[in-house]
This record gives sequence, structure tokens and C-alpha cells, in this order.
Amino acid sequence: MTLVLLVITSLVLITLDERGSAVFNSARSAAQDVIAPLQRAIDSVVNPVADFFDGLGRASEIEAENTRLRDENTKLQAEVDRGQVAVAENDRFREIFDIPQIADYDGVVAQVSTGSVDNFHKTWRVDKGSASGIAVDMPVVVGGNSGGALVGRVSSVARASAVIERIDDRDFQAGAQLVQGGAPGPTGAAQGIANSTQLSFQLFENGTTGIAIAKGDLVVTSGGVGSIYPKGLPIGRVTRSVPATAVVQRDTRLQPIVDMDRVDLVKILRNAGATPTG
Amino acid sequence: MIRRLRLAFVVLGAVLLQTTVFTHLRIEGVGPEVGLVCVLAVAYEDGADSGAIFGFVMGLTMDLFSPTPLGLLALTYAITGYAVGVFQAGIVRSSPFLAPILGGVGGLFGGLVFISVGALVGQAGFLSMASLKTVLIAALFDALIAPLVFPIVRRAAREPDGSGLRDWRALRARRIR
Repeated sequence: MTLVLLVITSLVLITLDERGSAVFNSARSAAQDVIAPLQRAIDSVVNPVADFFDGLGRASEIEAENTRLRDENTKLQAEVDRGQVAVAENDRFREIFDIPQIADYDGVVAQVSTGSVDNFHKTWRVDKGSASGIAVDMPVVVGGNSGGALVGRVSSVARASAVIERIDDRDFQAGAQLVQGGAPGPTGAAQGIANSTQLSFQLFENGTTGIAIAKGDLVVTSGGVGSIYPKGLPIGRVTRSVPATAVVQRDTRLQPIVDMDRVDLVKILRNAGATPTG
Repeated sequence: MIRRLRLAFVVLGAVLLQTTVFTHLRIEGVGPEVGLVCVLAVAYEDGADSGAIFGFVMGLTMDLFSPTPLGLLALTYAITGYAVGVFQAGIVRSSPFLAPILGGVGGLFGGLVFISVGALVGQAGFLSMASLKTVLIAALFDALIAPLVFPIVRRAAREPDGSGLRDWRALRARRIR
């Protein structure tokens, strides 16, 4: 009898939460606010230790990456002049899309405190919340003022912390657009895949002629009415080419621009749905 | 009252561990379910009804800090706690391997209940080989931490005068000998 009552109660709670209950959201925020000081105290001890061991475990990887970056830096020095052309092309691309710069948005920089709490979702907890003007569904990016990459959206918020749903989470969805040769391409949808670091990208095509998708093509947010993401935020790069003649399967995979497991600082765009102030 | 206070601290401790320490300790992106292991310990110590009630409370608290629908973990932990409580009635003798075995099997059972109920309530992609792999790794992790968690939680769940099912099982074992 006890179990039956508990099962019924649980099912009622699940149903109410799925329909969207402000009471439950308030309860979540209140609970997070209550234990936030304890979490911060534990994080201040655990995070440095975790970073230390993570660094130890990646010592050889870091050394190899360091060597690779030195070599790459040498090549990049020679490509500075060619980079000027790329900058001009990027400016033209932004004019085409009418994309404001990331710096034009009013944003809050927050530090990632911890990663996922459960085993079936990919989230971050950051150290800023509603007290800093953060609200649910705000886009989250990483990167400098000259550009950035989409890494998630705010899924829940408490006073001094917020939970970010990552773009490689199974529940992530966004309107997306292919960019080929610096020009806008067909639109589609990017979606997270369960237990994968990649995203799926499905094309919507109106015509009968297929468009080839090349490995390395950039995919950005398509924005538009009703989208919480502004237009032009890089999401990822295509990892698998699809020929133009492939009419059965018009979807491919994306690798996020950013290494999602190495993100320390994020920027939460506070007015992404409004006209930016830049 | 004191026992309930101790169990409340167990719930708080499990939430803090799950949301801080165990976000770093991951294998293939999977970590242990500290709350579930605590429920298994209470169910083993106190039986099916206590296991179900404590499982409901622990799960509901975990739901507040998890992206899953409120009530999903409560349902999962309540069912698992009840099942382990029923199972423990058949255990006559204790064994040093009982904690890891119970942690692993209970973790596996709880994980399967979670993905099954999750799929029923509309959580995308829960019924898949990838989810099954996640459940298996989590159960292995639960078996590893169970020997550390069980003694602490069982002591917290014990009645202040030391009585309880544990003594009943010991008495029955002596009679059988």
C-alpha cells in the first residue's frame, strides 16, 4: 500500500512538472539557493584538486598539444597577410547575415563550477544566477569579442547559480544554417545525440536538386522568429561529407567548435532576443 | 526523531556529494548514483516500506537538482528501495561482499527502472543501447562506492536503541544454527 501511494504521488508530480509548474520551478530555485553556499565551499576544495589530477592525467597530451601549437604558431605567423583577406571575407559574411558581434550583446561572464549531476544529461553549473540578470533560455557562448561559439542555453536558474544545458546534450535543438565558402547555405536543424559528443544536422531542402555537404563546412544558428538563439552563432563543423546525389539521407554529424569538456568560462547573452546595443 | 534527523543529514550529504565531488569522478562521462546507494543501504537495514519511503524522499530531493522531471527519481528510488527491502528478507547471513553486490545489482535495477520510466514519460532516447551502457557503468560505480556508503548509512538508519531488522536477522541466523 505504501509503495502504491508513493508511485501514484510520483506520477502526479511527473505529470504536473511536464506541463510546466511555476511552483516546482520555484522549489528547484529555492533548493539550489539553500545549498549553494555549501556547494561553493566544497567546490573551493574539490575543484583545484580535480584540476590538478586532470592535469596530471593529461600531462603527455598537454605536452604534445604544446608542441603542436608551437608548430602551428610558426605557420600562422606566415599566414597573417592571408588572414587579412579572411577578416574581410568574415566582415562581408556578417554583413550578409546582418550579424552583430558577440561584444555587441549585453552578457554576463560566469565560471563553470561543476559538470553534469546525472548520467543522462550534459550540463554545467555556473556561479552566476538571477541576481546577475540571468534567466532561463538565454544563449550561452564562449569565445572572444571578435567571435564566439554557441555552447548551450540556460535551463534553470537560482539566485546565485544557473544550470546550462550543453549543445551536446540529448535535449538540445536549434535551427541551423550551413555556411559554404563564406556564403549562406541551406537551413536545417541541429540536435544533440544521446551519449555522443557530436550533434546531428538535418537539412531542410525545398528543391529537387541536392546540395553536397562537405566535411569541415561550418554550421551556425539560423535565428529567426521564435528562436532563442541569435543568427550566426557557430555551432560546429561537419564531420561527414554527404554527396549531392544522396537523396535518402540528408543528415550528417557536427563536431562542436569548442571542446565541451574543457570549458571554464562562458558568456551568457542577456539580450539576445532584443536588438543588440553595439 | 533523532533517526529521522540522521537520515535527513544522509540526504543532504548525498545531494552535496552528487552535485560537487562526483561531477568530477566520471568514467566515460558516467558517475555513481550516491542517493540510490544510500537508499539500498536503508532498505537493507530497515526493510521494504522504509526503503520505499526513504527512496521517495531521496529521489525527490535529487530531482530538485537534476534536469529530469520532478518525481522521476522519486519513483525510481522508491521502487528500487522497496524491491531491495523485499529481497533482503531472504538474506540470512551477512557477507563482506554483500555491500558491493547489493550496490551493483541494486544500481543496475534502479538504472533499468529509471530509463524505462523515463522513456514512458517521454524522455528522449532513454531506451537505447547507449543508455544501457550508461546504466551498466553506473552500476559498477555504485558497487565500488557501496562498501564506503553502506556502513555510514546503515548506522544512521538504525534505531537509537540499536534494535531493528538487523537484530531480527541475526536472531534468526542464530536459531538456524
